[in-house]
Amino acid sequence: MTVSSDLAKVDQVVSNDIKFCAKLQIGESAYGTLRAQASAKDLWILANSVFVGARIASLPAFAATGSSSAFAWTGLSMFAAPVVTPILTVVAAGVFAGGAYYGVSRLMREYTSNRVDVVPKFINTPIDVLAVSLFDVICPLALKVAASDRMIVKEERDVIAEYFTDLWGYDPKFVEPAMAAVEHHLDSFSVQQMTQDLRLLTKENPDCNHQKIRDGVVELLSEIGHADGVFLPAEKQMIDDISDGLLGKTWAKSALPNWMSRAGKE
Amino acid sequence: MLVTATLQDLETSISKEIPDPNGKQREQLFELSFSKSQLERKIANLPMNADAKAMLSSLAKRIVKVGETVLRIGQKFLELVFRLNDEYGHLSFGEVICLMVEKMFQFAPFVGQILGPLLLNFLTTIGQVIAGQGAMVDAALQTRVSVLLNVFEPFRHLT
Repeated sequence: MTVSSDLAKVDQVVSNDIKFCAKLQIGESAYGTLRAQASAKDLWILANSVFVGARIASLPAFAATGSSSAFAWTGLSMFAAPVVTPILTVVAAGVFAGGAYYGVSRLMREYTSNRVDVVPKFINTPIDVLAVSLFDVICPLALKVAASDRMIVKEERDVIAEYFTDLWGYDPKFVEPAMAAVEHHLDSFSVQQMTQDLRLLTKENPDCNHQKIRDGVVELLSEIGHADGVFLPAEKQMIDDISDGLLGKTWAKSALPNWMSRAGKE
Repeated sequence: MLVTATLQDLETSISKEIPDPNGKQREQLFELSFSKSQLERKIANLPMNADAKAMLSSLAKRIVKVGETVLRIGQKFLELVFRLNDEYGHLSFGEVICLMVEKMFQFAPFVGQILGPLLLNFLTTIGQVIAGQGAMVDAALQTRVSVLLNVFEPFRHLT
């Protein structure tokens, strides 16, 4: 039985769509209509905050205590009536109110996204196409790290397979032969190229949360590094390089020995 | 036999009387090729935006009651679309839907009435309009569309 014949029998790449869509961590932004709705809502509330801030700033009481602060702190505010708030103060108060809302709402949204995962039912890219594209770049990187001590052990293979099946919802019937196919051609993959491809794919595809996927991949690579019980400096070096590469930092080409950056196994 | 469709999105219900479908017609009408999850998977793998896919998923859930039996009419229609799309790979999914919808409005206006609002919304989302595509395709394809839509024969004379 050849690797390609096993792959030919695969009829689905992802067996758990919900896990896969959840792992992309794009939330409701998958939907153009919801994105537009959220932006419109933000703008509406922001406009209201600015308006309310400006209204408060233009109230006589605020004018007496706030805008006429120059009088207030010299104790002369009682002589300043009737006070009209300078337009700049009104604008500044409005902008401040709007700015404060915007900052707080963004913080709240980030806080919410750390506690709750919103899983879109559908994404824009055909799901199997995106799944294969991600597998195509993550799997070689994972196997390269596993092979950085010149040998891929069962524990490392298990970590990689479980990452795809348990965390991402890939079909085990796809993962097994696909991993074997990648391992068979591992020598032809360049770590630098794969890292750049993964960065490009996750940054350019609106169905991917680049930051979250990047963090997940680096976590996976560290787990592979520790899987056989020995975390070699060479493994650490490769993971650091990939991590930097995914962040868009200049690739430290000289850091990796030639056999490691090109060849995966003996 | 009474056919009832409840269109929750339009807050309306339509009831019509049809002659009892015969055994073959019942089989064609009620037999589904895909499970719900298989259909969702097919929708998920379409090259179109997530909003459009969500609309197709809503369409798949549209049902009518034929006598005492529930007919998943939305899924039935989508299965025909997927079948035609597989047979005519050079046509886009949107083009296939246009052909089917156009023909369906002529063939079974009642079905068009039930599925039409969702289908027209879907077509708008993917930027496709019905513009007489049926007349522009070859005769073989026109015949194939008619043959596929024949499953809705029991609803044929309803308006």
